Amino acid sequence: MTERAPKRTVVLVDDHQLFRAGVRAEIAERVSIVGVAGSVEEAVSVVLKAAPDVVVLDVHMPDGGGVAVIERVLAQRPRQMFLALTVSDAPEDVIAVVRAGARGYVEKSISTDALVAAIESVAAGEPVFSPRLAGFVLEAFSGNAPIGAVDPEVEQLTQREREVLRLIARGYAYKQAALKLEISPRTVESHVSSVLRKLQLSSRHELAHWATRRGLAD
Amino acid sequence: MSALPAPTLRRLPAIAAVSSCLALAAALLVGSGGTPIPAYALGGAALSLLLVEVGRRAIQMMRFGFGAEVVLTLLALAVLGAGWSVVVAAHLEYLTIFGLLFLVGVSLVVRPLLETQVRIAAGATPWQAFTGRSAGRGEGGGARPILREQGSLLLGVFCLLAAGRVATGTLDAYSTGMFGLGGVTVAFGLMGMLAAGAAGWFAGASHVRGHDHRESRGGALGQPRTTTERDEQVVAAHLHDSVLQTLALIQRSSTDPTRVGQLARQQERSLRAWLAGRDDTTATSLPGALRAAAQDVEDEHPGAVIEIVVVGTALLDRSADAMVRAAREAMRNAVRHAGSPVRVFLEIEDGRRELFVRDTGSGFSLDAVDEARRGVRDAIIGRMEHVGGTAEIESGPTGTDVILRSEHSGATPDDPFGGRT
Repeated sequence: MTERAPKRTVVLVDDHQLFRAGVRAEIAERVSIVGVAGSVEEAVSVVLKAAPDVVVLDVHMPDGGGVAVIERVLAQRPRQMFLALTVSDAPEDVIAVVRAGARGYVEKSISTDALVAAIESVAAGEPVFSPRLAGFVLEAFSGNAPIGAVDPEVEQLTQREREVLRLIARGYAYKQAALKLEISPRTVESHVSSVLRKLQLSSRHELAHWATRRGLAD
Repeated sequence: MSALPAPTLRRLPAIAAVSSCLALAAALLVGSGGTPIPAYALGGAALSLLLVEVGRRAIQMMRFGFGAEVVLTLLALAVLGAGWSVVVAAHLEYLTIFGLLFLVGVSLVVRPLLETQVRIAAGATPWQAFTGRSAGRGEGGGARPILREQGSLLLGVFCLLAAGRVATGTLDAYSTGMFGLGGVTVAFGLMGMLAAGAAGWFAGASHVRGHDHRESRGGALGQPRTTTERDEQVVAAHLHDSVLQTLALIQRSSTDPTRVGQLARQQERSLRAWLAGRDDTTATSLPGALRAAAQDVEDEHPGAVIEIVVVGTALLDRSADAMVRAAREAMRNAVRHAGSPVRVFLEIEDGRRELFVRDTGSGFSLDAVDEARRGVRDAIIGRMEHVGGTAEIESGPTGTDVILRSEHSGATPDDPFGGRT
């Protein structure tokens, strides 16, 4: 995607002005930042007006946080792409934004290169899983967690999907995972998309329960 | 619970008490001749007061996030009280006294009971919860509110008993002749009251539990609602102090980027550990020991970053200990030869343990570095084999993986820490 001439358009949403400025300075040369916002209200109107390729947003903000922005924008612009960029590693936060419709989740400590790559991927409609998110999902669908065991409507992960998630949790990029599994990068992406879909279909209650238990057990 | 506005809470029963007493006095003066009209008016007034007050309280509680069960229980209590009052209506000034005592009693009892439940939900035993001597992080000035609660509870119970006595006394005196059912009515009344109380207790307890589940993590926002959350805020304040300390240190060492990075990383770790509810000083689990080892390696190598993802958990037994030691060596190698970030993934499932240490450097060639090879052989492979596990190294152009595997089985009693060096 990088070789395509027009830069991706991005709106940055974070209530920490300092952090926003920092991210902006880092990625401004490689993507086109068409708007910034510091609150949920502002974010919704800026995103709807600017219609960027990707909204990069923080999970934690006053008045409902990233989840509120995603839900309100998607109600009016269903194809908008979101990338959650967050310091939080609480599973319930992570799972909540992904369930709301974010196509990707990365940690704020991510390198600039990796962040730009994640923006490109999300813009192209590919889901972006951080190792940590892969770990959460593996645990959520494992034998320890209630999902699937209790809710027969939710499909379990396939063996292949688990293999892909394990490699991502170990730090493999999609391409590296594809090489390792001897499948095409496309196939890896489609496995990840399918995991994302299963996650979004799973019951909110079960996930919340699991997340709370996990926080206590670890 | 503590968010109920205290002035309103105390003022309403007081207003009710004063006006009812005045009305009662007036009625006794006027009605001593046996005129029933003021007495009826008085009884009616007391009854409406009771219902209005309970209704207001219910609305208040709904607004402060009480569940429907609690509100319904309160309303049920009120209706029960009202119904019982009608039974006692043979003598209406008694009705007033009864209604008043009942109202004040319920008002006084509800809050301490809920607070007690909150403390039980926070892990205290019922006795600790009642006496306020709960284990855990005390809050300096916690003794006085608890004394007030106990006082309020005792007074409330006394009022309710007195209400019961008034009702029983009234029935004893008048109803045996009139209804012929006095004893039965009283028995039913008391049982109803007990049942309503028990229902209220359980409804409140289940509500408090749900409340804690939903709110405990987001507890930093808004008013603290439970004792648990208040405790958490105390700790949060403490942590913020430590964060501020670190920031001050960072400002002072702003010319030393390595030191800045290290300080920030250390602070991040301790904050994350606290947020996740982990006690990072004692590692009794495999994940905990792994995190501690990673911290050591980060501290040994300024600027190093090791990201850990864990699925599942296990106790730190002998084979887990060997795995952590081997992983520590692998992390050291990765940090030394490849740089950051080093990714560690530990998966524990049904006794099967797999630990991956991956760096995305160009791959360190074991054949080229003799010393590294020996380190790997003794410190990683040797340790794992000693406890019946395996260690594997995959080095390629996109990075190096050290893969440690073991099946959990009963540890052999001799040599409790295999391969310790």
